[in-house]
Amino acid sequence: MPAKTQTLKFTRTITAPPAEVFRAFTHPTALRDWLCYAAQTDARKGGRLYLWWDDGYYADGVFTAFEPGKKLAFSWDGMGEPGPMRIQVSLAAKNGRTVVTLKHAGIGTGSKWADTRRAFERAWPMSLENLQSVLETGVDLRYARLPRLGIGVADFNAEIAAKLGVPVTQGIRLEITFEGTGARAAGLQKDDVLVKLGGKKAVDFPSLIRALEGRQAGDKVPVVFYRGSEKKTVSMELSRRPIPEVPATAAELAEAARKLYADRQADITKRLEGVTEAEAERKPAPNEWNLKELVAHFIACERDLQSWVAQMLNDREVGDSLEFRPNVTIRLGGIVARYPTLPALLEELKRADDESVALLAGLPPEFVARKHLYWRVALWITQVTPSHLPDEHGEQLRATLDAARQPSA
Amino acid sequence: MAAKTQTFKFKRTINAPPAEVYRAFTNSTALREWFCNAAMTDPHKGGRFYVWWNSGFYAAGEFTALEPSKKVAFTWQGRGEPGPTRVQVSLAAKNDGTVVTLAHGGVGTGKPWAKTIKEIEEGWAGSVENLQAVLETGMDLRFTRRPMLGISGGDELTPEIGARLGVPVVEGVRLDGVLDDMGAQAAGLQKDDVFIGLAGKKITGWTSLINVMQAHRAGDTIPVVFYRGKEKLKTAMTLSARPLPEVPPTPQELAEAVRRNYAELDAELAKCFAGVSEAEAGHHPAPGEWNTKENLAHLIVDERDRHAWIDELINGEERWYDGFAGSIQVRHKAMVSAYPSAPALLEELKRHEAETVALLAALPPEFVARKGSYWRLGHNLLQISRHTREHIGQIRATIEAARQP
Repeated sequence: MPAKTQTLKFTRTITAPPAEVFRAFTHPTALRDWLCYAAQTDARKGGRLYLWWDDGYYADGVFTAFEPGKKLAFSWDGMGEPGPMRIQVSLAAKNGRTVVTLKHAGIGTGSKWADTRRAFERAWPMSLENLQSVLETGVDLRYARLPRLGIGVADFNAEIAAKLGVPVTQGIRLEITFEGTGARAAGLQKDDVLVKLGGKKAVDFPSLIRALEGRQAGDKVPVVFYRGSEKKTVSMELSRRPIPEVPATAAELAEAARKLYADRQADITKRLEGVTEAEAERKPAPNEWNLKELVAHFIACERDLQSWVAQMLNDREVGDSLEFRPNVTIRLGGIVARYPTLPALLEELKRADDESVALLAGLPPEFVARKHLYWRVALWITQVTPSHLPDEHGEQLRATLDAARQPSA
Repeated sequence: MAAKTQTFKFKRTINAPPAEVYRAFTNSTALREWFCNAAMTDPHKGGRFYVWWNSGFYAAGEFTALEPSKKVAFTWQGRGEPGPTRVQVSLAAKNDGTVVTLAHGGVGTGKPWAKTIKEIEEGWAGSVENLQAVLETGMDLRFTRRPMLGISGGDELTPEIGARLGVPVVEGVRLDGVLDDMGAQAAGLQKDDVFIGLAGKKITGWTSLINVMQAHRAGDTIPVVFYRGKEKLKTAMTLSARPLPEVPPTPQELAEAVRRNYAELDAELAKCFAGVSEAEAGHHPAPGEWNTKENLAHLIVDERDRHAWIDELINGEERWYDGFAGSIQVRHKAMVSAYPSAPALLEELKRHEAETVALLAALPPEFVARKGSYWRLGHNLLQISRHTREHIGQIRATIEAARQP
């Protein structure tokens, strides 16, 4: 039966060449950088595409039109939707910019289609706005607009509740509110215990994340909390996430990396000062890393970083959750077998760092111009690398060292 | 309208524990070892399931039941199929093995479903046979039964290669050479011939060539259409059997076999570089072509990527690559800047090889028990020599060129 269908139409003008916009709809890494959580594509007419999101939703389809720089179309069969639909995208160059026209066709009528229609009416304008942001500036609004509460959190349990006189035992106890954030402006303070946010339960990390779902920076939400025995409600504005500055050129990025690596080498050398080879080999527990394996982990991470950047340079798809895996211990064992002493491992780490710096310095201008990729590398270097040792492994390193120095039983 | 549906059942007893069979239906790396060419799964109830094949076929769905070692069920919407269906797999321990019962239900009747029904019947029968082979022996029948042309590498045609060879086409596969005593040689094929058709299928690149190979077995005779320069020729060739390396059963033996290969290759490399000056080592045979140091850097990169790949295999989280994308000049340059001389690069290569050997020797028993992954790993590592020797050949030629007055 030929059912009646409707078409939604969206347009947006983007300062980027049509070829780049086309790529953003067809290349798995580019798609993931503005539209979905990860994607697989066989980018040709008749080839498949599969997009998925971290909330479990997915859509699969086949490219039915494929004219690079001009137009493309694909079928869209999304999870839980009443039937397959079609997406048509046409691109027109206009004064150095690209006019993107997206049609979402084949939406049925009647009540069973209402939710689907509403979801796409809402989603496409936001996605196209993000496409523009990602192509023009590299900034992924889905990340940049994640609301920030501006709080630091402390332990909370029945004992602490009793001490504070709070009549509930489940909640989020504040350690601190940060300067310039909505939490500070709303008057929240240390030892307040959050229980509700935006009308939803928020008593631990998972429920807090659920309570924040769909919220954006700038939204005002009611917050319910206990201050001692008193239950209070305030309206709080969700803060913006500070958008980090990334170095503008490959040379500046390499220089920033060089400094960060030098600091890290100094830090790790200092932390390991006076550690004997025997201490460095003692495992705190059978399945945990010893100090040598921990240093090997940093070496493996640099090598993986290099291969990750190389994949992007190759215009190859970049894996999703696998971007940076925890290294398996036997791989680290392989590295330690080759660089058996702490000084040898630290030397190799320095060589690995040097190589990363040289790779960054050599990033070609066309890569830097592809902002979503460059931004990802630059964020990794400027945001993730500096905290890797102190935040992720600092405590582990201390504990491992303490355990190694215990007189053995 | 409540349409009539039918269910197709397949049953097989496999000599592997239920937990491993369960994993073979839920883990993306395990799925690609016997079933598809790649998979993305989120194995929890309601999680997504996506499998695809190089042929372009795919199926998408969601897990609807997951009981470790007992039961897996997922919805199935295959590309071009008239409607969604469901697959249910039940596992029962029996002696030391597992009885696998697979039911593909919700399949419609009549003409629109005829093609799908045929694919379900043939596809699952072949797949569960392969599931058994992979879990019991590690060998993927899709690979081991795949015949060989008997060619020693080649390139997908590009306009540049086409122009150089004078062939009037832009798509095809150029042969680098033929292997002794195999089908291509017997059929009179030679270096620089360009395949454009095999077994009646158009050859546009490696994917189409592999698809033809997957559809045939050793001993089949197929028509071949190729260009030799501007001349279009036709012949028939008999496909050869694939010589399969013995993968040693223990990681220690595998490590030792790989170590011996590396030692031979390292000796050949040392000989190549004996008496070579830094200027010679840095000589580019042509603009844009690698010098010998970049060749070494490429071998090191390869070794590193192998470590990461083994890491992924052990974790059961192998990445999917849409084909080989080649090595990156800037990465080689970075490596050469960290290890500036040929001796330094050779040393670094040896250290990486030693890391690989140490990694292999330490493979945990639970990984070795995953025969599909272990066999694939062993097979891959025992093939390294071929690739390294191609580069040793390039290195030799480059040094000779550098020494020409």
